[in-house]
Amino acid sequence: MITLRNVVKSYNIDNKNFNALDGIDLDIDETEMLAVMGPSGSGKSTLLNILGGMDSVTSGEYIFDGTEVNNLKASGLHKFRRDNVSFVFQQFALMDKYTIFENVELPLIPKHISKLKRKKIVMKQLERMGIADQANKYPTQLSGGQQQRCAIARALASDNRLILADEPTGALDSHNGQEMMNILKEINKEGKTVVVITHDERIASQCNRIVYIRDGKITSE
Amino acid sequence: MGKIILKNIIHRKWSFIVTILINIVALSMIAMSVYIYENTTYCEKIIDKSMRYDIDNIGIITVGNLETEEGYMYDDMGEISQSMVNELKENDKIISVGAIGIEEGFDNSDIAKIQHELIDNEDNKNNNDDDELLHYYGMDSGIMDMFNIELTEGSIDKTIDTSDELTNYVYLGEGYKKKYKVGDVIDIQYKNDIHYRMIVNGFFSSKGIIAEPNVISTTAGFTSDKCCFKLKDSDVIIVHNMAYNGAVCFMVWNDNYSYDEIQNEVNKLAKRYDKTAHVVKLSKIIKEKVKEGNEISGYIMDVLWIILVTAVIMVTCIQITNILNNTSQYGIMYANGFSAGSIMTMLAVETFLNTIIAAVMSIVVVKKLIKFIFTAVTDENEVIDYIFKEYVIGVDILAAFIISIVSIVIPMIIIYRMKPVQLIGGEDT
Repeated sequence: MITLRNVVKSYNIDNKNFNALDGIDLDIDETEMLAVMGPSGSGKSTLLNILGGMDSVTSGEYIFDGTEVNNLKASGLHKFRRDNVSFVFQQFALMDKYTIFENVELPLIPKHISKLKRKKIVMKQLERMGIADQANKYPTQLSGGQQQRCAIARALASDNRLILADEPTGALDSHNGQEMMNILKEINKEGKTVVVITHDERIASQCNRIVYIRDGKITSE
Repeated sequence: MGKIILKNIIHRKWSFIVTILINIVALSMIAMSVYIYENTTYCEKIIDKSMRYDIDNIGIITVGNLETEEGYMYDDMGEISQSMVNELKENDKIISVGAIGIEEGFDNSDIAKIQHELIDNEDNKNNNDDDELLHYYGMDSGIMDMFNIELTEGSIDKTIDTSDELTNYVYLGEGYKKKYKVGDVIDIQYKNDIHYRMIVNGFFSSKGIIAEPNVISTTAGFTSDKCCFKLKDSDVIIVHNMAYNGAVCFMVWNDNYSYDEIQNEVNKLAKRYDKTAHVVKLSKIIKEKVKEGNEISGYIMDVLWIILVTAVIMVTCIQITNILNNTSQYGIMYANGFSAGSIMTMLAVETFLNTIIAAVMSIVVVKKLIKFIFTAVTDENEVIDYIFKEYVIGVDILAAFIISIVSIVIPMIIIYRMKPVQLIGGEDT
C-alpha cells in the first residue's frame, strides 16, 4: 500500500542543510499495524507528516496505492489527506471552541457530505467510543481519555484507510493509554492501516511490526 | 462551512467587533464626505431641474457697475427700469424676462399680514407658527414660465397686466383649493385705506422648485438645501410689478442666438437709457458657486483616501494577528482535509461580512446624522434621500469592498505560504 524509497527531507537552518530524514526505505502493507520508535529528534514525526501528506519530501519516492504522492502539488496533497489519511495526535488536537460533535464532524465537511449523513456518522462513532452523551460538551469539559476517544472518533468518522497516530498515549495514564491501544488494534482488525509513533516499548510491542529510526535513518525493523 | 465561519466569528468576537467599529468609523467618514461633496455639486442638477429652459440660455441682468475681478457683479444689482424690461420682452431673441423676489417678513410685517389674510390662519396654522418667517414668491408675469412649475389648474399667462399696483394675480399651492377656485377675487384691506385685489389665476403642485434668486450674491455655503426653494402646498406666488431695486432680473433667450449676441442686444438697449448692462450666464454663476463649495469639499475628498488607507492598515493588522493566534486551528483543519483555498475562503467571507455589516450601519448612522443636522435648518429629506441613493450608498459599499479586498491580501498570502506541518507545530528536528 505504502512505499517509501530513498526519501530525504531536508531543512535549511542557519544556512545549513539538515536532513530530518536521510534516505528512508520503507514498505507498509495494507491492514498492517506498524510502530515507529526512536529517540526525540530522530525524525519520527517528520516521517509521520510525510506519510500523512502534511509535508512534502525533498527527494525520493512516496507511493501510496500507485499514486506518486511526492509529485503532488499543494492542492493534490490536500485531496490526498482528505481522502486517505486521518491523524490522531498526542495532545488530541481538538478545537476548544467546538463541541465534541463539531470536532468529530470536522473531517466530513471537506468531503461535502450532507448534514443528515454527517450527523449519522458522527453519532455512530461517538457511540462506538462511548462518549455519545458528551456530544454537546466542549473538549475542556472532558477527561484526557475522553478527549483522545473524541480524537479517534474524528479519525474514524472520515473512514480513511490510513490512520497515523503520533504518540496517541503520550498524554494519558497507563490505563487510558492501554484502552487507546485496544481501540487502535480493533480498528486495525477492521481493515485500517495504522502507523503509531511512540517511544514506549510497551505500546510498540502491541503492533504487528516495529521500525526503529535514528538520525533520520531506519536502523532496524 | 458557514457554521465554521460563524463559530470563528463568535470565537473571535472581540476582534470582529473592533474591526466592525473601525470600518464603521472609516465608512461613516467616507459617507459623510461624499454627501457633502455631492450636496454641493447637486445644486447644479437641482437648479437645472427647476428650469424649463437650458440654464446655458438663462442669465441674470446686472446694470451699471464695473466688473469684479471674477467678472461678476456680486453685490450691487443696480436698477433696471420697467421700460427696459418691456423693450426686452418685445425682442424676438428673448423668450422671457422679468424679476423674481422672495419676500419675507415676521408675523406682524406687512407681507405677513397680507399673506395671513390670503391664506387664512386656520388653513395654515399647522404649517406656520406665529413667529415663523412667512414668505411669498413675487415675480413678473414675463418670467413665470422660466420655472418648471406644474400647474394643476389655471394657466401661466405672460400677458397679465400688472400696471395696477393694487391688483395682483396669485397662483396658490394646492392647500388653498378647499377655500378658493380659479377666478376668485380676494379683497384684502391693509392699513384701513388700502385695498388689494388678489385674483386667483391658478394652483400649482408641490413638485416644483424655485431656484434661489439671489444665487449671484449668495456667499453662504452653496449646498442643495440653500440653492433652491421647494414649493409647498401653503406657498403663494404673486405676479405683480416687481421693483427691480433689490429684485433679481432673469432673462431667457432663444437658443438660436449666442450669448455674445444677446449681450450685445442688452448693451445696446442699456446705452439708450444711459446705462451699461451685463448678462451673467446662470450656468457660469452656478459652476463658480459649486466650485467655491467644492474647494472645501475637495479637501474632504482628499482626506477620504487617507481614511481608506488607515482603515485598510488597521483591519489588515487585526487579520494578521488573528491568523497568527490561530495557527493551530488552521493546522488541525489542514490535517482533517481542508485545503488552503477553503481556509482562505473562510477568512475572506468573514472579512466581507464584517465590512458589509459596517457599511450598512455607517449608511444608517450617517443618514440619520445628516437628516438631524440639515433638517434643523431646512426640510430637504428628498434631496438627502436622493444623494444617498445615487452616490453615497454606492461609494460606501465600494469602499467597503476595497477595504475587504485589500486587507485580505496579506493574510491570505500568510496562510498560503504556511506549511500545514508548521501550523500543527510538527517540525521534528
